[in-house]
Amino acid sequence: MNHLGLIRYVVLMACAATLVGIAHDSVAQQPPSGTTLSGVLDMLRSSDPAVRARGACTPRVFNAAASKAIPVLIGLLDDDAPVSPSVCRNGRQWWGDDRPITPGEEAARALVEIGSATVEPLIRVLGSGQTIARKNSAWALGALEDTRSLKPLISALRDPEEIVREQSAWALGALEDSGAVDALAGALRDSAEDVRQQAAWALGAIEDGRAVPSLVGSLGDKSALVRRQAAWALGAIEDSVAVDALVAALNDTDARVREQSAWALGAIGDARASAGLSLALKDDESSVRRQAAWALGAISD
Amino acid sequence: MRTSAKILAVVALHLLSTPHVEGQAAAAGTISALADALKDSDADVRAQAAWALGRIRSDQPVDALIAALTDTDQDVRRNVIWALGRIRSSKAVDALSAALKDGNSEVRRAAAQALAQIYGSGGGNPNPNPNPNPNPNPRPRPD
Repeated sequence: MNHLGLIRYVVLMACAATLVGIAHDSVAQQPPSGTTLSGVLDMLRSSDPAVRARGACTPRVFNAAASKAIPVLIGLLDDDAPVSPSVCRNGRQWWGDDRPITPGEEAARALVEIGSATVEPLIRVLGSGQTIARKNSAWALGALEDTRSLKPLISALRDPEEIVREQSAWALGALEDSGAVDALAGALRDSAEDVRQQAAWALGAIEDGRAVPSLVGSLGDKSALVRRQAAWALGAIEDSVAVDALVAALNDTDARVREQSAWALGAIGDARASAGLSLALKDDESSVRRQAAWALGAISD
Repeated sequence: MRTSAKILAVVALHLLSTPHVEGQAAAAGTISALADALKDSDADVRAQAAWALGRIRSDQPVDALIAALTDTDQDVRRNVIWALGRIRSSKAVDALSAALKDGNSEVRRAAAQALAQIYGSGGGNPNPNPNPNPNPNPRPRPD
């Protein structure tokens, strides 16, 4: 999924920004123009998706003073034409991500750089845009971390499209607002595995103890990915209420769930887990045994 | 059936031997399980078990740790030495002195530090966590 590449990009913005000026690639990819806002706006309206993406990822153009670009960028959010990541000279491939990018994702990133003036337009797209635009809006709203997005993102957890619900669950985790706990707990029962996993992640990111009973329920999810993510979230929340359920999860059929549960028990640090973890030192999988040994050492604090 | 009954009995004994404890003092059953893990087939498990025993700082597993000083894996030897230094058992002095001649310089340095701790001249612990948290924290966002 391309949004992950976007997320990584934003997270590493500070790092990438220092590298942008270094012409790492010898490939001729100079934009036709693109140091001024009006030049960039022309690029965003190009018939060539590579040029549109390149316009949207132009460095040092999108900031609070670039509000003139908001309508054009909002209009690009549904643009999912795949483009080589090399058109954006931001070194994305340097950390091994050579998946295609899209003008819509780059537009979402540019809107995040412009800042809070984009929140209301993004909320409107999240409610009534096309599918890809809704997904990209949800991502941008999560990256903007503005409390105005809380209720719209909660509503988007009931979007008809799985990718929108998943991205909205991520965004709510990025907001880290306890007001989303009940809605995300409901999303743990979503029909789509990806949505349930993302909701579990978000609840772990929010770190609110009220999520513990629902996450304990997800340790019984039919998907091992969801069970593992729930175990992670319970370790992130560090609430001793989860200890018995996590000890039981040391017997999960999936080794990664057992390993993650051992980690969570070490993170929680409750000595009631010691007996169960001692038994896990005999697990068939060495990764589980090692994690159990770590957890026993961590509990000794 | 007999085998499963035996397993149940072992489990029951194990649970009995590791009662809920006050504070965070590790139970004897936990420590002996970790001492057994020093003989695990996987070197990462052995190294992690040594680290855990160093954190727990009971002198119960000192013999098992001294035996593990001959481990073939240098990371295991280093963690075992670190654990013995933290436990500060004088029983380990001879074995740690021998480790000063280890073929691996990190192991030799760890042995010198551990001996300094046991003799009380090592101000503080120079290497409090030789095996950092192996947290397998899954990617927080799905692929």
